[in-house]
Amino acid sequence: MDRAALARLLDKVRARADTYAYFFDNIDSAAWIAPLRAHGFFSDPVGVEYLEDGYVRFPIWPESRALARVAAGDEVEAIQTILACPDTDNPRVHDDFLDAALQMSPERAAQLVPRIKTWLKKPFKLFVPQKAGKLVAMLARAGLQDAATALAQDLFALSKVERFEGLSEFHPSYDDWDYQEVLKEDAPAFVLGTGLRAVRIMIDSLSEVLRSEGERLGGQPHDASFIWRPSIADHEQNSDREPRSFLVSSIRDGSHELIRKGRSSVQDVVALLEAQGWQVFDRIAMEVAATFASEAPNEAARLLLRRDLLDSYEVSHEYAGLIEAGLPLADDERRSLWFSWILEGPDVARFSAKFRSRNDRDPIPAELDEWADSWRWNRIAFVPEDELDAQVREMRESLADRFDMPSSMPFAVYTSFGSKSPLSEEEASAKTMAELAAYAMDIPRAENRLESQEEGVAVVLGAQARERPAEASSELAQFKPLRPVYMRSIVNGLREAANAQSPDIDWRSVLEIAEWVLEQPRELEGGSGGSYSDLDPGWVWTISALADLLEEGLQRRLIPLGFRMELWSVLTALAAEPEDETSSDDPATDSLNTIRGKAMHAVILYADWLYDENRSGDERVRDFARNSPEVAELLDAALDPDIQPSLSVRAALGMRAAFLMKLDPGWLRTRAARIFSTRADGIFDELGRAAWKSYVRYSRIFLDLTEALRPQYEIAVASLSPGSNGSLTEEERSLAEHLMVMYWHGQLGSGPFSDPLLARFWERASKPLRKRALEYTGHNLWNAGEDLDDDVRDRVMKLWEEYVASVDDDRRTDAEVLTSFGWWTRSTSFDTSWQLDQVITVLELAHGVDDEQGVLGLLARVPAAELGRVAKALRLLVVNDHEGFAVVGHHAEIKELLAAALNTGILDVVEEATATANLMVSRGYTDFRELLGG
Amino acid sequence: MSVRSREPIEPGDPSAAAVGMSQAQRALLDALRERDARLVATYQAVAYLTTAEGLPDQLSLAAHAMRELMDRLPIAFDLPIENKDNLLNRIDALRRSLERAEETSGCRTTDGWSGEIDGPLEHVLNVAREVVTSRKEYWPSRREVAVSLMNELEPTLGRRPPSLVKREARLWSELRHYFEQVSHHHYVIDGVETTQEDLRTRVQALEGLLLDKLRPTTTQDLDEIDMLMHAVGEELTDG
Repeated sequence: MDRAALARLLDKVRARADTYAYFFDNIDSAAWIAPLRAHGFFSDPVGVEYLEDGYVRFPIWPESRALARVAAGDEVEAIQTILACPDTDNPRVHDDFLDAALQMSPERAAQLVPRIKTWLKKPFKLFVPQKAGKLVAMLARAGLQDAATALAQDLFALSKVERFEGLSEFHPSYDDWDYQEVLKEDAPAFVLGTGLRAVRIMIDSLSEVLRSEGERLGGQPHDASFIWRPSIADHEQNSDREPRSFLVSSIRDGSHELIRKGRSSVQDVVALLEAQGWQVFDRIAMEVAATFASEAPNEAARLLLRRDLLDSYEVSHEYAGLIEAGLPLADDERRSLWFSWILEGPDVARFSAKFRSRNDRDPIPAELDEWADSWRWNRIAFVPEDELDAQVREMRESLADRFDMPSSMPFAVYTSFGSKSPLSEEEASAKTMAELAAYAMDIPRAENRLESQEEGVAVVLGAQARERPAEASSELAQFKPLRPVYMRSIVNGLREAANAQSPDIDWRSVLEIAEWVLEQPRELEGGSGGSYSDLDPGWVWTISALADLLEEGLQRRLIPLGFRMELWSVLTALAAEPEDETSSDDPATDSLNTIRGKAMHAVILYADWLYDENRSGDERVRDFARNSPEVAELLDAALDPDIQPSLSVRAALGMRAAFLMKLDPGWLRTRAARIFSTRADGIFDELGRAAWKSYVRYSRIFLDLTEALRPQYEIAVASLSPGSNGSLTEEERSLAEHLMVMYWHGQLGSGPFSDPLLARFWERASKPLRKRALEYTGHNLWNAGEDLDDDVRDRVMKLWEEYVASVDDDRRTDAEVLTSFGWWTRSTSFDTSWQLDQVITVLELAHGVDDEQGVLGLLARVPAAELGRVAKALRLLVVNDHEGFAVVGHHAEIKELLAAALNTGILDVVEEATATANLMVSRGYTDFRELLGG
Repeated sequence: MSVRSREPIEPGDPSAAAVGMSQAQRALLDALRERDARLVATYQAVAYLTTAEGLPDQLSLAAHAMRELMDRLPIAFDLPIENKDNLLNRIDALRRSLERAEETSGCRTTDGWSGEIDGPLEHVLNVAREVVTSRKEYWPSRREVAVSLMNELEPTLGRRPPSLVKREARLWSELRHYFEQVSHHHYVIDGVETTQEDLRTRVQALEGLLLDKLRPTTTQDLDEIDMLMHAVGEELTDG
């Protein structure tokens, strides 16, 4: 061998990660393994990388990947190399080694089993379980039972994971989904290769779980499997997320397959299952016996005559299947015995004891008889008709008159969802609202929403109100005598009709009902509101629904002006409702959800409604005193914290600041300091902060409004915390966005520091907030498209240039802020040369840029004369791309750009393009070699 | 020490900038500037001082500039470097926690410590764990910094095995040690008196290493690997 050539080659290989990876990616023969091992390779796996942000990375180890590719060429050398390799936590290396093993003969691959068992215990696994599953199947097929079962033991094991105090779950050491897939894909081959031994491995895994849980459930045989696995056969009631349940399916399927293929007898399988002593295995045994009842009728009959199974409700689902399949095949003696047990009935003493412990009294004879007959019916109902003798037939017929016929085998626990209505939509639409009110009168009250027929009927009534609002609104009074749930639901239906602009609502009736409802008790005895109960507590939810309806009616201009007095009377009453105790910690949200808050929104919409109606010629009068003096009076009172301490009311005022500006600018200007009230130190107090937060987050912005509220913006900016580098609050983000809008429109001078408010913002804002401001401007530039005014363009260019100039000397401080320029590159309103300059500056200063796709789009737009700088920007983009996604999908355009640059023949341009093409090759885009003649 | 350089760097290249840089040196200067403009002056000083024969104390000054460049590179790549203040704060926190445990822990006896770990002692252990785990972050050794730098300099996102990176980091540390010795006027290194030529060789080795990472000629390198693989591979298969 040419040792000098090999040494030179390995020098090149060792020099950089790209040459190293290239070499190993191109090894195509096992003949390389030995000499490379002799030079120290295959002995230093790349480990897991723990990143600063808590993430981990599993680097590819090109050496193990090469080994996986060529292992079949020299199995001995390959397996020795793997076994000699030091341990690592990197699952990519394990994946590769497993790939190598799967290419080898089973005998050779089996040598790796002890190592794979340790990999299954590592914290990270990637595809190790799936590949280990394939190996188990391969070993089993080759008859290497010991190796296959040794690996399967660890692969199928479940362990306890504590969730809450006293509650635990059982999971594999890898993903539940993968566990299910491995069982589905590879357990069948494992079972066929190793027979009952394989089934026993899976039984052992499940038994381990049951033992761990058993004590809590009262010891063997109780395992609560009727809850976590309602049916042994596949059924929609079964959970599709329970690893225990996946094992049950595999044990069942494995048992079936062994019997079907004649590898095991029904007796052997059932005996193995019964020997475990847990209900779930008895249930699998019954399911197997029922499935193969014709092959082994005695086995099915024997199980039918296990008295413990007959009596247990927890196994009743499979027992019913056994009755159906097994009883017809049982001999006369056994059948007679079974029927005699049914006629005798259940163990009454046990039932009585249970009844006593639950009810503090003994059952009366009628209760005992009822229970015993129910017990009989739940068994005898599954006996095929022609198997019954006269006595039993008579008993069955009498029971059938009293009990419903089960539609399927019974479940010990059955889960269903959704509220229930005995009244369908169709039936409801055939009745008048008055008839519906009479119908609702007879609906029984329930304890919770899911079981509530009231709730179900109310939902149907709400839908009717939406469909026929005229009748529903005029007949509201019919529902006064009923529980509030119906009125609430109908009012909600009317709100939906109002939202759809229905002109048919009888507002007089609505307002009369509102007056009446407001006089009703907010809570009724036996009502259940609260956090966990979800039935109407009293009339309070109906009041809230009425506030929503009025707000909708005002907003949509549906309420006739003639009801002004009545409407105002209701609104003032709503505004005086007690503060909701279950409010959230966000006053703005509360203003939309609490009665007082909703009322305040409705009051402002009421003023807006009057403003619209009160015209003076074409001019509208922007004056509360002229349009709605009652509103001004109420709002002034709402600004007095002694009268109105509600945060949600103040938040409503903040949120509606734009309306207030429109309705009466003078009023807003003179009240701004009271709406956004402050402490002695000049910072917003609690009420003022509620209003400000709500304004800045939710109000639309108008320049006259921002100008009127400038003192408040100054307070908000002064309250920023420059040191905060965590995630931004919505309030902070919105403030930055408002300021950028103001700047855009020339309200804050020209340049980032020309207006003291904006200058103070840059000084006080945290880095993420400054970044947000510039990023938001970039988004707006993009949205503006080609229509950007020259003065706006000049102003935002100045904003950027002067900002960059201010941080130029200390790139570390502001690097992450500058990356926001990426969002400016999508705008086509700038000179591309200017944008390219900024991109290069940002990449050099900040070593990264946002929106790489936008930047690539810009580079494609730059004229050919700039190809050298384009190549440079591309290189900086790639070199600073730490995730590897920046150029994905743009490979062809980049290649084209670089080819054009290389063809210019201009030395500097060619140098830039060459460096960039080489970098692309380093990053794995090896076809860029073509550009450089490689 | 092996010296790797893609082309001889000729400091006196007349086409170079004012400080007399070769084309390769200019490429490196440009690469350093792209990374951090503050490296430019330092590297220009290296280039100038390395060739400024006759300048009093020239060897020491050139070595000093070179060491300075080496020490600034990890900062330019945003790598964590020694931050004693932070570690001292953490040690202070450990001391306070230990003193509190000595006063309040039920495990404190006249002879030392015994019994089941209680709250105060658990706190000490947690703080101790933080000190230990943050050691690399706040007080990395020069070798650890060199390893991080070698990884950071890779032009690709892939990684080489630790042993290969450590090998290169060792070369880096040896070079730094040499420049530090010479900058302190210790001209006899490993029993041999250093010369102008020794210094240049080492400067070129470092320049070659940096340029190979910052401006890789990947296409050429892969062409050569293809050629060598073909030659060696044929022999392996035939043999």
